[in-house]
Amino acid sequence: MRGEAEKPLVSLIVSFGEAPPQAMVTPLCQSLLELCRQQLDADAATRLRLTAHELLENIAKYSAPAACELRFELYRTPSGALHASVQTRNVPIADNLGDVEARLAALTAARDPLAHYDSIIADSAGRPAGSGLGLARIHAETEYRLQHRFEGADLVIAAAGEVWLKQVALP
Amino acid sequence: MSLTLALEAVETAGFACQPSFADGKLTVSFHGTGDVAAVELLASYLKRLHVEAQRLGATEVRCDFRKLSFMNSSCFKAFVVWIDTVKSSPEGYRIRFLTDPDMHWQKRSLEALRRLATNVVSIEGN
Repeated sequence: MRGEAEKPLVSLIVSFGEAPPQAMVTPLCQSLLELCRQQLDADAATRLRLTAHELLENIAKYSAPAACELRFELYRTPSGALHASVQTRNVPIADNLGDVEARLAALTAARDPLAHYDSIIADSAGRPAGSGLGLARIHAETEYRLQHRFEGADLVIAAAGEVWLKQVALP
Repeated sequence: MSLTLALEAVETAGFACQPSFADGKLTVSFHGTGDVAAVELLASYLKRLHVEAQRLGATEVRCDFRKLSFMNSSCFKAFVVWIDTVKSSPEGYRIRFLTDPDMHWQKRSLEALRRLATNVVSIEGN
């Protein structure tokens, strides 16, 4: 975790009184990318977009009627590396709680994210509803690392990872 | 008598599928953003694409992703289901994804689809 003294280069907190409409996910993620376009190269931007999209879509689809939140920060570590963090907070639908807990536990326990992802992909073909792929996709395709915790009824999921500076054109 | 394509173009908010059939090659060009608005349309379309590929006796279906800027995991799953269907079909065909190397997500996402069925899926453009 980063220290208190580090100031984010970009930060954004979006609070919702209840689950945001799913149609809001794409425009909100595009706006998030626009905020960082000066700092990120194309690859870093697509990793961030995927992470933000999957996390935000999860709270749009699987939240009980209660407040939700999306937090984003882009910051530099003391070593000079650029890091991004996307965090969501919501109260999961009761019927979905066991599933999301099991998925997160399996994900963080998996020694090989790609092998775990491949097994989830193979299983998803027979899954009647939902893809079950979003969190695993973040883990395998973006190299952001996922952490989660419960604060009362709230589920907080954070994805964080190193990003790369936009390449500066040589003179 | 030559077979003609019986699969139409479809479109929803921010997403479109445009099929073509020439010289025995069935190609679908995907445009826009594959998000929640596209999921049902895409899942249904890929089922019909499979039926049409079999009717036409296609040996390969090309999916042109060069104008597809993003795909969420639900749209990704629609491709997983399709590939799984083709993989287990007695009258299968190859699936070739045409990609834009500048859209970095495509390489990572499609590589996962390729690993699902290495004898069915190939990727061009990386």
